Amino acid sequence: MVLGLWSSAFGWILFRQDRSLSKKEERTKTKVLRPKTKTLSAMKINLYKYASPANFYPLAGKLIPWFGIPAAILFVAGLYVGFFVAPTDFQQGDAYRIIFIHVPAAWMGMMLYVLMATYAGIGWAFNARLASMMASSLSITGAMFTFLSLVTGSLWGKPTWGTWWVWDARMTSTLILLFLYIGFISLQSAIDDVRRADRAGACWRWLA
Amino acid sequence: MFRWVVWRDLMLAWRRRADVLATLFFFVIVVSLFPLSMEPETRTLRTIAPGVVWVAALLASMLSLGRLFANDYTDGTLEQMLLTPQPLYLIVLGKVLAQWVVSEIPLVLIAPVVGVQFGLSQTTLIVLTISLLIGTPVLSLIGAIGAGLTLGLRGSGVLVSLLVLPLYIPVLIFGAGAVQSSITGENPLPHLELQGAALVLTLVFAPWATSAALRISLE
Repeated sequence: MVLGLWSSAFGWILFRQDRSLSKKEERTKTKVLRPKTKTLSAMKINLYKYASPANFYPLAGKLIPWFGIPAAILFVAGLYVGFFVAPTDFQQGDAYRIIFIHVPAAWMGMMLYVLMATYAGIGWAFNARLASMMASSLSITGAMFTFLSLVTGSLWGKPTWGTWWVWDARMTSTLILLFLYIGFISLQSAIDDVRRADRAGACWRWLA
Repeated sequence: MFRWVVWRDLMLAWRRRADVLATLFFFVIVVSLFPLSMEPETRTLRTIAPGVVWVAALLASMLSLGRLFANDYTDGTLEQMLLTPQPLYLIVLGKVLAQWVVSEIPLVLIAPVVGVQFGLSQTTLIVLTISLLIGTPVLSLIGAIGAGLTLGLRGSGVLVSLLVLPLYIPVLIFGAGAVQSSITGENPLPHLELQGAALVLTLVFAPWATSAALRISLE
């Protein structure tokens, strides 16, 4: 079950990324020079081909339904299994079912942070535009998952612990993680120059 | 070069004494607001004192960050500093040192006086002063990175606090922890040692990260 939700969550991430990338595509359409005719080099199999935003945008646009539809199916399937198929816990009753959302969300929130730092670092070190774009689109998804894990955690805490929030080390660190995500997003959105935004974001990201 | 930067920034701060005093009074006012907002009972005050003093110190150091690079950035001095053959690391370190002397040392000095308002004992006051003395350079060093990154951006004041305050949390925890353990009669030394470790770490890495941030902001 958990696996199902994990994979659905992952699919959702890909879906979100593709969506945000295609949004970016609209904005930067004027800047990107697209090859109108297929040259010989483009026809050859080239691993780095899709590292170029000009080639990646159309691919990402085409892939949205291919990831989005399985993501939606897995999402529904995971939720169904979690809410209806899994047996009721003998101690916590039905309240424990939120764990099927809470745990993957928290897990994603942390993993995406590492992944984003990696992408930001690659983008900064090798001047790879696509890696920086990945980092900035991951930041929003990561912030969303961290927020989701906090909300579901407090929803779970109320019936089980009898309180919405305690200043426990795990919860506090997740809250700080959310602050770090927000800092990154606001830094990126405050800088108009895209390259500077990427680099400043990467610099700060590695520091944090 | 290092001495020249420190001296120059100190001179500049001396010519604008009001700015320094403003930060200091901000600290005092914020700390004094807390006893006013609740029942000033000695027991309660003692419990909240470490947190209040430390949070006020954090906010006050936030205020002075804007001035760290902004003036040099607007008149072009910073750009010339970046072009010099001397390592940027030293220049940044000098500027941070000057900023610390100008805006944080007064806070450290006034902290015992403020602590008396909260009915802290003599030992606790000493621990408070020492923890501030070790902790505030860390605040300046980390804050410099944020100041470098947000240089010349719109709304940079709020942005700096968004970026830097989460990074201040460890300093806050250990600083307030030292004072807290001194109040409850435990040994505050572990907290102070951890603060010292944070200071050494930031002393090595923060000027380097600030240089990177400045280069990004000024290219």
